[in-house]
Amino acid sequence: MHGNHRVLIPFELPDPESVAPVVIQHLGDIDVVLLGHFHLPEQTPTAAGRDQFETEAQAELDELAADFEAVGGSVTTRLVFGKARAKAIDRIALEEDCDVVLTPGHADAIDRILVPLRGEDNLDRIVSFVGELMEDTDASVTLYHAISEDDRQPGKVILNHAYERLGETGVDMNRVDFRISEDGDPRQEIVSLGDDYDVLVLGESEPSLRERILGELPGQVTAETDDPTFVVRDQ
Amino acid sequence: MSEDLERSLGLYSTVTISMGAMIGSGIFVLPALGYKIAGPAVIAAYVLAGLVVLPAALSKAEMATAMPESGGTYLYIDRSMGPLFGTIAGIGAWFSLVFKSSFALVGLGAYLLLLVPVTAGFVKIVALLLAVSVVVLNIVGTKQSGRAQAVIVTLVVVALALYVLDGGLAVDTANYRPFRTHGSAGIVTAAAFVFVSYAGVTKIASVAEEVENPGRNLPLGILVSLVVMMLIYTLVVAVVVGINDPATLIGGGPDGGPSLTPMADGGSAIFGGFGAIIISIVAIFALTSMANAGVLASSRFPLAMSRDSLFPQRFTHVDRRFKTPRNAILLTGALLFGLIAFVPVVELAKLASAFQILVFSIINVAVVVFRESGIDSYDPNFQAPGYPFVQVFGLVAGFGLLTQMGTIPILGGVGITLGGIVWYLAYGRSRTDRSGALGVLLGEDPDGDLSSAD
Repeated sequence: MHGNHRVLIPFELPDPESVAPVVIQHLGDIDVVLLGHFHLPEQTPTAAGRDQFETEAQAELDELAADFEAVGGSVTTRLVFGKARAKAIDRIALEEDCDVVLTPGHADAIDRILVPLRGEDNLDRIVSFVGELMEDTDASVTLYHAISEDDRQPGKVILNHAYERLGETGVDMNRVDFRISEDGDPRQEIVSLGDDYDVLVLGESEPSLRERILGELPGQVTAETDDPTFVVRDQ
Repeated sequence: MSEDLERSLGLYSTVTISMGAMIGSGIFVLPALGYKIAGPAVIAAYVLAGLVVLPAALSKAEMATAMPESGGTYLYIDRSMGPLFGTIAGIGAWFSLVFKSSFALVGLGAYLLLLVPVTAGFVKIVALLLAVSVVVLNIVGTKQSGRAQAVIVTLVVVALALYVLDGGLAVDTANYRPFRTHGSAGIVTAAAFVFVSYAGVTKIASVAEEVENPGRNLPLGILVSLVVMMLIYTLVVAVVVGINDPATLIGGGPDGGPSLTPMADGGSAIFGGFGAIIISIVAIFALTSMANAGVLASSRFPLAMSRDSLFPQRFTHVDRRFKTPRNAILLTGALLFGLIAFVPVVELAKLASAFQILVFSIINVAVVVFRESGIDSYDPNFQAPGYPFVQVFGLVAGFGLLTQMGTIPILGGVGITLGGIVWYLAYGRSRTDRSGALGVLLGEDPDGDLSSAD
């Protein structure tokens, strides 16, 4: 165990969507926390739901955990019954000190990683996590920026800065390239670009006013993309 | 490591949940029925009813901070006074809420029929259809979030404020004279009758386990929502009385009875003549929300009692597919359906209030029992002020109101009490061995433990 990061993986119980085996394999060295969230509607008191479903939900969660343990990872499981999934994720991430949240998706290999960057907010953390992923895989990385009216800095500055920082982590910089796009809305760009990549790493940066109204970018992307997506949290 | 509770409700959500549970039949349907009993003094009846509710709300807030887990009224009384009183209160609270929901559905039907050219004779059939859909909705499981509830409550409060402002200009002061057509006794009877308008404060305690910082937000939420509702009710009812012809209020309803749509009756005088339509739409939103919340909350009573072995186990069962307590909801739905079909609308309202007064009176006793027993496990974050005088006032005033309600409500109150006793002796007694804080107080049980179900 050499990582500085702890990854929270939320599952919707019962019948959770599984994590791509290739992702589990490469997470072998990173601490993971598996959060099983069992959704209960308004009608059902939490205690009643837990009494009835706790055993089987925990069994499902343990089964998921076994896959991670099989590749030698350190795994913690948490089981939550309730109504507010997003809040549960936030709370458990805080309690368990997780700085990255992974949403499951499909991937056959981790060869290409897309890293959309927007600003400086949690650049260090994102870069450090990408560096760790690069150590654990042979993947190439594309640092990406979609120009939008919300930009506080020119995209090139952001990308250059990220490139330098990534270099400081000691990874092979031949595996890293850039990409900037000028048009379209960032969400669409990221989702369609994602088709050419296996995994996404996104920052959960402070939502702009527009995003507060239209929904946060990471949420929209993870909802629409097929790729496993690591969302690096703000702290 | 898997004992996780979600605390996601802040003060604002807590207040709106409570207000959302109160705003409904109490203001959209009851004013004319109360007017028939007390005349214009029905305005004062709403204030009096709120004052009598206050001690119970404070007592309940105190107990909610000592036991912030779901179950509400039933749970507090059971843990305080043991399973016999728990059974009486559980059935009483359940009945009261179902009566109130059925009454809200009849009122909802009446407002719906104002929008379509159909005779008012269909009110019952419409209400029955609505009942079926609300029950189905609850079994399938709604995702009505605290935020959606807050939006509805805000809209309704805004509409009521506009109603007061605009309607206030159209008030005919002659309508307030004479103020007390039926003397002081009329006010007391009407207060007992509209008591159920405040029953929604109950809702807060039943979501206590989800409230953030419960020591502060529970009592504050109860107090704020109660005071705001007293103000809203008083003003709105004053306008209802002020802009309507007394004859319409008393005889404008189905079969020549009191109007069930008093807020829409004076509609031509407000909102540029569109008052009836606008108010009807708002009423439909509020009453739908209330009926839905009522079925949701009332199904918790058989569920909680079943978890405590006072009711058959099958009512704890959570449906695998919908993740809802299907059996508890179906039982509640069956009662709802029967009440709408067979009980006259005025009696529904009276009995709902009578049961509520009974339960709230017991709540005041429950807090006294807890404090006097001195058990260690009772450690509320919030202590009701004015103890024990406030509780004694609540108890005496409650029974005072109950005696003024007439024969049927009194018989209803006695019937629920006897029914609860019989059910406990026949079913619950052999299955439970807890005695609550009362057992400690009477020296029967040396270690009354709040958390143990049995």
